Amino acid sequence: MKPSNEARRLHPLTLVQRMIVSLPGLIFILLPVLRGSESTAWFNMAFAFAYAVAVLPWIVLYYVRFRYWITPSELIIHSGVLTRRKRNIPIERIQNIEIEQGPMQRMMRTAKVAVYTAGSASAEGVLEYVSLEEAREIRAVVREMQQEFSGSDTQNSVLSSLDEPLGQDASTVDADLDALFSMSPKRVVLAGVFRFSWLYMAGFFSLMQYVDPDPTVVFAWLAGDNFEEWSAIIEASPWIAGILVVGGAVSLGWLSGIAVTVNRYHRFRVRLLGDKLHREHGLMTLSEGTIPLRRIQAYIIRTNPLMKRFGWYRLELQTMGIDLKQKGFQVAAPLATMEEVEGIISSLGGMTVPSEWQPVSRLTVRRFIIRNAVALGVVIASVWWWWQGIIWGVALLPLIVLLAIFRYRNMGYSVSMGELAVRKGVFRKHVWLIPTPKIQTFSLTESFFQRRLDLSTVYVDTAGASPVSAADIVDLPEEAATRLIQGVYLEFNPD
Amino acid sequence: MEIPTDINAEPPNRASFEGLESLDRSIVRVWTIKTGLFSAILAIGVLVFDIMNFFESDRAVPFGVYPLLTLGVTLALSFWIPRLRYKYWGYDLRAQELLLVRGIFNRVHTIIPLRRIQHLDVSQDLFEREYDVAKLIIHTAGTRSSDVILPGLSLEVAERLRDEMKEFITDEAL
Repeated sequence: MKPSNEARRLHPLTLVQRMIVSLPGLIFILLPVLRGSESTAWFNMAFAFAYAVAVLPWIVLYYVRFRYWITPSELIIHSGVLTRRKRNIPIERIQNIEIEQGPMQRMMRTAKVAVYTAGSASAEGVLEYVSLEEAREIRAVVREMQQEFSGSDTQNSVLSSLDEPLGQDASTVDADLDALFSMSPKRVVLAGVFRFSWLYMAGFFSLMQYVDPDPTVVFAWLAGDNFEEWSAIIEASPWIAGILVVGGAVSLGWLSGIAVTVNRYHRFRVRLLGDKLHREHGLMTLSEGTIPLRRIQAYIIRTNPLMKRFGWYRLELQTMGIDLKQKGFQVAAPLATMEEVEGIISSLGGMTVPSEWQPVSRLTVRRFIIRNAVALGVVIASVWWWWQGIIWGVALLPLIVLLAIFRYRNMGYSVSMGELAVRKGVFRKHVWLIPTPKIQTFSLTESFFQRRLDLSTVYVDTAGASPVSAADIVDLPEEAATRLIQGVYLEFNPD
Repeated sequence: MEIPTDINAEPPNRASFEGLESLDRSIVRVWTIKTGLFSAILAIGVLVFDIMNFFESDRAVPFGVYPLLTLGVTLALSFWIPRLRYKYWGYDLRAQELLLVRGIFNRVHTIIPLRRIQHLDVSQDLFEREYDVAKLIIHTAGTRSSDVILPGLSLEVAERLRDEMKEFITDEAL
């Protein structure tokens, strides 16, 4: 395939796929009818009819009106049924082309191509769906043209090795020899074990609520022949039954966490190809994508006390707007040892994880205790009017003290050639490695109370940084803070 | 690593606002009007509440005390706060960076390297237009500093700063 001015269309099987995808919506609408509640049946039938009349032609029209071009300088996409949208994406602005194949697409040998650019979400292009061959070709063409733009063709040989079928058995393609990091099935399951999440459970229960099964029926089905015996046991000891239910819910959340992780990170593999990081993973939905190394804004190593106990870490790459679903954080290793993490980081950007950390001021312990004790006091005082038992909340005080000490011990920073490292967190432990040239702005903040203690908070902003868990260095002695900013800024801007 | 000590760049000039440019004095008026309007609205709200409770038999304070008190306090604050804000605002455009220092309670010092600027806006709202002041909005790719606002510049200065700074905008992709 060569860039041309010829209009292209999506794969015809898109029609079939979109129709199949729209079916659950129809079933959703018809659910009351299917379950046989008479009163609203006619309404739902009419609604379903309207849905069919509107949606089916829309799918066809969408397909008919969707066209795209790959010209030597741009990717042009015209789409939309009622609102026509014409989108021109300059080739050199394309950061990342991701090819994704869900189970259905794998059966039909089609793929979704997502084109990501820096910054705004509106500048993105999605082709749902093209044939797998076409997807590969688009990627190859775009890369080739980007190479022409940058005036080098040294990587063509490396990149052509990428043109292997998506999801082909890893053993047939150059094995894991050149992989920077890959995960065995065992490791993937282990990653899931550490990934307990209430979210999937909440999803499960809201689904249950919609289906609304009769608890006694479910229970009878579970208990089988021993229905009477079981209910007698439960009535006899409600506490144990309660604990069992909670335990069941927790293990359900745990198992679903494992399932989701396995589905997402099955055969996870990252490889370094020229100046790009290539990543592929997935069980049901295969996805592969590339991250240009120069787009990496920061490296984030995460762990929690449990994972750390067993020596496991998770490495994320902070990027800007490559994949908005992941909030700018690309997982480079879902579960890895520190040696592996250090290996990946040093081969990506030549950075090192510091072994020694500078502490912040000890006064931070006192400040944390006072701040939280005051907050606790306010809560206790205000609830006191209604419920005097709240006074036992005072028992939380030692916990605050303990937390303050752990918080102080875990907070640290380190400046070395070309990088600023910040470490923080008691339960969610983070280490940020920020390459100095990637810093956007520098700031030094002193609150009213900090000023009285000569303390400052230092923060360097980076592109795509999380607004929630950010790498502030809190409560540094003011002199150290000023020196830190000066030192880092001088390295950032040597003249 | 030893942090370099032979620093010829100026430190981010912490405690004092000396050597920094201050804002245009007219911004005090704009801020006073804005906070004054806010306090009037607040007082009206309290007044409505007071009127609604006019016929309550067990009133602790006579009618009109709460609205007047609210008006008094907020008007006093809207006189003081803009002056304090003005006093604790400083900026300096240097060869390589823009330095901002501001805050009455929370003192924030920000260094924006000029080559990090993505784009610049000069904006004026209704009140600012009346007094010929403008704010300069500096956009960078950072998360917190995606739009840093430098308020209270005379329109002329704002436009001059913008024109000086826009020379540094690079089209270097992230």
